[in-house]
Amino acid sequence: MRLQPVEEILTSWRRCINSGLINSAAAASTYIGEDALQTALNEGKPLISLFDEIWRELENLTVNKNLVFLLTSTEGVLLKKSVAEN
Amino acid sequence: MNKKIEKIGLKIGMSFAERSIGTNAIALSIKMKKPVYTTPLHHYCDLLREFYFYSVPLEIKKSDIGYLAICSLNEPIKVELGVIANLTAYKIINELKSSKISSNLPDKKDCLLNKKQLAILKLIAMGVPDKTIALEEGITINTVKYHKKSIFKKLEVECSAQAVIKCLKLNIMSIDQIDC
Repeated sequence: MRLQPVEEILTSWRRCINSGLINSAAAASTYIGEDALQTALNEGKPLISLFDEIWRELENLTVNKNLVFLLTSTEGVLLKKSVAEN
Repeated sequence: MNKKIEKIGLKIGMSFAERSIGTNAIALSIKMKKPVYTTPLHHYCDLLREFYFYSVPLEIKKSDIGYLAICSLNEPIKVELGVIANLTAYKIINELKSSKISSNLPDKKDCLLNKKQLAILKLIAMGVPDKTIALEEGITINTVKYHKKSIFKKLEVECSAQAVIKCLKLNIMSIDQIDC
């Protein structure tokens, strides 16, 4: 796999530092509100159902148990996660 | 993997935006609108320090509709998995595109053309002028015009070019049936 060029990673780190983001942040601090989540899930319904459909085919191909497939909204909000359980 | 995910709190509603959880493949993919692969050391927040991420944008007509990502615990993502992610994204986009096209089109049953109309439309698609169509079909030019109006009405279009395109999209007519 081709790695992301270091410059882009560094620029992103710089933005995080400048914005005062702490690197020990817990996942809970990133959860969006219930209303916003419902809106995102409603808007992403066709995408989520397609993802589910395709996942059913993929699950049999994916033998690696240390994998998770994620589907996010355009804002990066997690809409669906599917873990390989073969 | 499930236990690890539960332990770190990765659940629906979690934001992978840069402002929420720092540098990660999904955030970079959002920023750059291209596939991104990141390793544990690339991640700004400790929370993601054991994961490898590969994120692919889902785009229709250059506007993003979401992101598909693979996340692997303590193990680099293999090329084959990257290919699977790319193909999955491609499949999702294609399925969405075709469902959007079909939802924008009228019901195929409602716009089926009769034999005569279909024959006329095939001639139109070949660039045959109305006068010649009349001669070939053994009808008057006014009847040709009448059929054309009916075709446009049934297909909900305004011109011959749109009628041909719509018929191709609806599979009423195939490209092989048009002899040029």
